Amino acid sequence: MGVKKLLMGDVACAEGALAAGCNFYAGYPITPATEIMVHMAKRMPESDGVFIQMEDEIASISACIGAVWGGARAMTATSGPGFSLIQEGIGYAIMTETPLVIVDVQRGGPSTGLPTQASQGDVMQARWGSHGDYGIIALAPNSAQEMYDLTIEAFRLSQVYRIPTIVLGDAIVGHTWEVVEMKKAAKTKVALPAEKPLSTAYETPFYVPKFPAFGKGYMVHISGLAHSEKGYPDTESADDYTRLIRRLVNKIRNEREQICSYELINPNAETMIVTYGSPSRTVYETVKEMHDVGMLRLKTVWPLHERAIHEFCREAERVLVLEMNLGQIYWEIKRVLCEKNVELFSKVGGELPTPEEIRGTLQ
Amino acid sequence: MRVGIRICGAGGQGVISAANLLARCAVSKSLYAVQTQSYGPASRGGFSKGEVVVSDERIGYPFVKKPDILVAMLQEAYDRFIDDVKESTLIIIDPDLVKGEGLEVKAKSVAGSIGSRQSANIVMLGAMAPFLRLIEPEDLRRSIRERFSNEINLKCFDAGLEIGKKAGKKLRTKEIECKVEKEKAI
Repeated sequence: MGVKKLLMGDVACAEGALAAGCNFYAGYPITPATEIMVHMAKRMPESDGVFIQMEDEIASISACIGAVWGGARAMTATSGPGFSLIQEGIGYAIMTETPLVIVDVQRGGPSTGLPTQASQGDVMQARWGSHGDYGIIALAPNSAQEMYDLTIEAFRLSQVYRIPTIVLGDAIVGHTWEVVEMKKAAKTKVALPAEKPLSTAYETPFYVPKFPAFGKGYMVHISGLAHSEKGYPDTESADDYTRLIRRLVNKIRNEREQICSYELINPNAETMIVTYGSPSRTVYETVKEMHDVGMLRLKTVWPLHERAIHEFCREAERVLVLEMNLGQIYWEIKRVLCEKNVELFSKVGGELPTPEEIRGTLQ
Repeated sequence: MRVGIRICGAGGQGVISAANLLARCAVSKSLYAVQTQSYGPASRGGFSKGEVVVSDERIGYPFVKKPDILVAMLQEAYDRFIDDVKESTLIIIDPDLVKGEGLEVKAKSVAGSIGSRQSANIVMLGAMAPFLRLIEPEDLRRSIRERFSNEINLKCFDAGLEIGKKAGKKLRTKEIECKVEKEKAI
């Protein structure tokens, strides 16, 4: 049991990061993510961590990547416009297999859009925002408690899979005050590689190499260019490149069962609502006392938990996808349940769908 | 049981901190609470709204659709939300600031006579305290004591509480005995 406190979602996220051992934060203020940064500015010096306000978001993620290679656990937080700027850094972190956490407190876009209003418009950007083939992990909290818990989980996953992990919040979870039980996080141990990096191929096609400590033991070469297992640029060999990219994709794709989590109410009910993040709050309110309607809430949005979607929706007569955009995850669900008629319930403009609206759609 | 409270007024009147105090108090009693807010770009003046949902079970939808208690400290706020009320809603207004129907609590002038006009929000908390159902007036009083070091806020709370209690006796037999209508509560 941890201490229970009334916290704003953004602050809960910052506290979760600290509980996970985050000791480096670089960021640039932006509504509705600023409170994360403000809280980190206060808390980092108290816990001997480093806080830097950067000149922009590109610099923020670059500083985080550098800090991780210097031995720190790093996080940055932003919203829409900043998330766009961060994409280049995400690509570099993917290619160099740098574990770090990026929080995107989503607001209405494109561009400066609706600064103070919630949206889920960045879901596909979280998946495909950087160029090239890659796998990614993105988690979607729906409460202040999950802003805490899933930030801790994001740190764990980022270290286990050596990948930038995204926490996809929004203005509603970010700015809502709720009770948070501040559980202690199990510290992930980072095992150092016992030997020098291999000169031959890794044992499995989805192997995650151990993270070397910069400046300790042996020389390390880090490159955003295609590289072989030795770490040196290798832009001539199609075989080496294919092996690298397949591994970057498969280390996530093949581990979906270990990575993904979800919340389930009335599986295979007559109507199943698939949702994630804030709108799931309304679905829970509507569905909790109904027997013929169920909810599958994806806590992990990426990778997509295709098995769970298929398994818990296949008997349903009607499948409804609820999201605060004009249809992003909807197309993914439609792909997975290709034999079914999948309907989209969209709401944009910043307000959460109301229980009445959902009931209206169900009738 | 789910109780939704909406406190609205002008920026600087402390409507959000009043909502936050209620949520803190609920949490200290191991209840579930969600507090949300909306405000304009100005920190003083302009429209501002604080909402709290207090419940003894997990809270899904976090906003207040039809409040059990509506406090209005600004005409614009009253006009905007008066159509959202249900039959059982307890409406509290400051008659010096708002023309309308509801329990009249001269929060600003009461707080001013005690010595701090900024504490009008605390007078309002006192006035609603007998009607909160999941929270006892004494719990709220304790939360205010924990939050503020001065005595003025406690005095403001007590003054509001007196007004609320008197009104409660009159209203108890009638519809304002905020009855939960489960479907309409959200």
